[in-house]
Amino acid sequence: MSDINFKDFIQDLESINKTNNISIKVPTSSKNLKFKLISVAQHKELLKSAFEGYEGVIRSNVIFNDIITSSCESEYEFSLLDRAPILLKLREASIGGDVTINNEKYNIADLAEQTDKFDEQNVREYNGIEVVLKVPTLARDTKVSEKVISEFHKLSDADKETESINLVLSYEIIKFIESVKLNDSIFAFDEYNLYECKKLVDALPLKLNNMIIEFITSFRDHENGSLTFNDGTILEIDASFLSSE
Amino acid sequence: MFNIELDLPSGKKIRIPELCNRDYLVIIKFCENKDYYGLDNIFNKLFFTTDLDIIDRFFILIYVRMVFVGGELSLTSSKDINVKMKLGNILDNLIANYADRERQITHNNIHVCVGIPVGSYFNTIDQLYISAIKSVQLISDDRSVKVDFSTLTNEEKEEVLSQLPSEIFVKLQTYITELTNSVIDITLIEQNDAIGLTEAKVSILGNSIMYFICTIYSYDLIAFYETLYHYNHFVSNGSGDFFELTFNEVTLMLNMHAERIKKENEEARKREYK
Repeated sequence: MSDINFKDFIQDLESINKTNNISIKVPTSSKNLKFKLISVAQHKELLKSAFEGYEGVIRSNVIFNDIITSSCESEYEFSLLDRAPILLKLREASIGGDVTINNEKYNIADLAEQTDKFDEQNVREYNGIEVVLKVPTLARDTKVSEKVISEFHKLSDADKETESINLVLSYEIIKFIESVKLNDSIFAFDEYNLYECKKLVDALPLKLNNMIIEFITSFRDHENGSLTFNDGTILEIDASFLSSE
Repeated sequence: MFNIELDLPSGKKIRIPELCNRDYLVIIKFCENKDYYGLDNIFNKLFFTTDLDIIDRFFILIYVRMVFVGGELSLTSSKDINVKMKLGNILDNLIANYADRERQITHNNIHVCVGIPVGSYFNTIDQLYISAIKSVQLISDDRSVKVDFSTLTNEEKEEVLSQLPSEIFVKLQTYITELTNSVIDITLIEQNDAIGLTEAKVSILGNSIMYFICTIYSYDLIAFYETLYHYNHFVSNGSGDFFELTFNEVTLMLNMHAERIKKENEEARKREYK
């Protein structure tokens, strides 16, 4: 055993980690990409979010997105469609496939691999307003989630109880909208800040809002397909995802 | 500055500086505000080295309270009976129950030595977990390198953790769970049904320690300033040394002053009767 300086130690640790990776097929890409396994720092951040109430639930989304993008050894614009399949493989390779849900033991290897594509019709129209929908990228998902967290901080504890669902829902809708067209004007969501996007979403007719929520629900059902065991039990991707208990 | 050598439950030795009123006033203010993070910071600055585990830290804080502020706590039972509790009993309890809990967590060629968490207040749950890491060692065929976690800055710790595989964290969680189940909670107050006293225990792992410490260091600020006023006015004649003395010393001198006044009054009364 020898005493070395910290920089050398980190270099040694990095060289050990070079072999700690896994190749995963990314659903929105035709390729397999290499990922580093989940680290202690990422795991502890996730654990911390479990004790942060509503805010922690939103923050855990950001942490999962960060795990995917920072662990991938290639540059790639991941979609929310990639999230569940990649996280399942990373979880299995990092700490094993055993999970316990409602006191029942399951194994991630028993989950059926998702083969069908998400091909929900992505244009919704009502009263001359046309909304183009898109499953967001992880970068967009993170950006909007961080905005939700900052809005959350502004609420009093009492308001958090009543306003949190509205807040989360409004921003969830924003994530999935690519553009809104009214007559000849097109409002492309990427080109405006989130405050302006929220103003527009708040002004949309309720009927159209419900159509967007149907699209999001349809996406969530598709995502849950890869997370559902044979007996119908769904593996939640939340702060407890890296716990086997 | 005066200090005292102290043998800790872990077997380590440390020198403890006396707690002067200047620092005690800061502590009281943190206690009054229930600011545990601030309280922990001032204790870190005054008494702790970075390698001390939570039991050693608890021991030091009880000891300091006992020696420089006072060794007894007054409690009132549910039957309105005043009971004196000796802080020295808690120290005996800590020494008697201390056991080395070090263990090696191994994943491939990474060896992590874990033990009783180092720290006294944990802002978040992950801090408690990470504070159990003592050292990380990498062993390969031709070389072995080790880093002592207590010597690293928070940024350096994060850098190491970002490189350690998650499997280690799972084993660390299991270790903390086992430690929680095996480390004996410290009994602060023994149950006594005859006088209506219920048992009070404090869990060694977690923030209960700091909550208890806050309770025993807490002192009414107005009463503290009254002590300052009485000392300056009646004992030191405005010399301004109050903040350099310990609270115990000031109490002792105020008692001496009260004793002297009492004697003088008695003598004056005797002279009147003659």
